Amino acid sequence: MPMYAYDGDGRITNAVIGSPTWQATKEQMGFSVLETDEIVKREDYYIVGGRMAPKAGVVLTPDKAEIAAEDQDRAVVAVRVAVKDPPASIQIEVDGVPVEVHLADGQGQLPPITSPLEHVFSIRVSDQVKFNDNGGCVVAAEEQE
Amino acid sequence: MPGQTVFRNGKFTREDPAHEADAALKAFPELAYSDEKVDAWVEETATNLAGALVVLKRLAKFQLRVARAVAQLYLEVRALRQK
Repeated sequence: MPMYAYDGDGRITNAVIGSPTWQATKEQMGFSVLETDEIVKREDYYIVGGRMAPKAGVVLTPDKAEIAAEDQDRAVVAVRVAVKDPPASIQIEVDGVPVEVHLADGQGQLPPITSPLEHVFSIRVSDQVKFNDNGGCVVAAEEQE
Repeated sequence: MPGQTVFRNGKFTREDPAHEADAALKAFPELAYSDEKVDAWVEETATNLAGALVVLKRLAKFQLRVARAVAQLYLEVRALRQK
């Protein structure tokens, strides 16, 4: 039967056709192990209350992939949480700097992104355990000639 | 890449003190001048009336650049306060 090792946050760290020995080793390392007949992809699920739960899909879409590296140009990233009962808000990070985005029917948008310098901004969901953003998105600030 | 991303005044932006210092120097190259350099330049240039006029014109133009920068800053701060 498949076995899934997971950490205290519910993040699945290993998925194997395991054994009691493997399970004991993982538990000694501080992980918990769930044995189940479900076969799932680690990146699409997490474990809560001892059960598999699907991650909520989050789509991050910038209105521009590139902005000019000067203060006047800006990009706005739309956020969509694709689940039946979306949360009222979600935390998103831009280069690790968090901001809470309020959602209406699962949709919202980040504050604008601008830059006087050349830089590639990386935008991702903060909670990578419960949400799957498929790698997030980027906005590149480029010098204009 | 140099600098850091910050969330300020309701937007995400990139800040780099070195870049800002470069921008200031481009606007006011005089920032790089030492007192001694200014003294030497004035003494070498203002040796006659024509040279003194050159010094005066340069000083007037510098003051105009400062006035433009201050006016721009005033308008930006006023616009920020009105938001």
